[in-house]
Amino acid sequence: MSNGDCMAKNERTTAAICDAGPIIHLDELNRLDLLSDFHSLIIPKSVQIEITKHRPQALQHAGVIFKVIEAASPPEPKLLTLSKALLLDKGEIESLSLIQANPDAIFLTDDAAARLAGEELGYKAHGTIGIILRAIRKNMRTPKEVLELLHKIPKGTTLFLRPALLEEIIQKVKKEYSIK
Amino acid sequence: MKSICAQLPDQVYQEVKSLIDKGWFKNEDDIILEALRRFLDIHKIELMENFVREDVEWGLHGKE
Repeated sequence: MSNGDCMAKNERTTAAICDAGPIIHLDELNRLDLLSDFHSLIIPKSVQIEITKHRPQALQHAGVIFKVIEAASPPEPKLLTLSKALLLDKGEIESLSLIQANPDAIFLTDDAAARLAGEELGYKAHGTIGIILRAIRKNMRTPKEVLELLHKIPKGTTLFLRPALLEEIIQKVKKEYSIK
Repeated sequence: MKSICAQLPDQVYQEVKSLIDKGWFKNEDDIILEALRRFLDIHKIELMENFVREDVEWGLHGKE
């Protein structure tokens, strides 16, 4: 299945506010296009700076345009309290600040503390693994293509997953789609 | 009890020193121990793995 085959079938209605992790990890897999069916992809300035520092090419993908927005400063009190308690970094705080202005958006992060804060504030939050598996549901990749991606994670990315957990995910996908 | 030696960026060290000067912490050891304890509380393996399992369900069956 090619990258754009089923793009037109997808409802491009959901926006995503992205922390640096999923963007970097998907780019390491050369699969940043899995974000392309979101209605808009928003990153705060500090996340842009972080990605530019560590993996600048991730922000230059032809089919994936990130909208860079300055987050309100200072963040609202509950977010400020959570960010101190959970030791969030500037990119995570600004991402959460932006999602408060876009409450129907999905917050994409691979950081457990940032995700905890996002869910505590009542927002939907997901990570790289969710985006990869979602590609099957959205007809962007076949189950076999997704399995190949999952196998590439340990050596091809900086996303850490305990090997047994990764194997659990692989077996779940195989069972779900009756793949031996 | 183990000792570790760590290098901190100047700005982070100034913030550490400021908290000590203002009486929030007794010394550098106390603030670093508290910071590490909080970090370890937040980054519990079970929590991170639960999030990954939630992602698997959302990825395969979720609705947006």
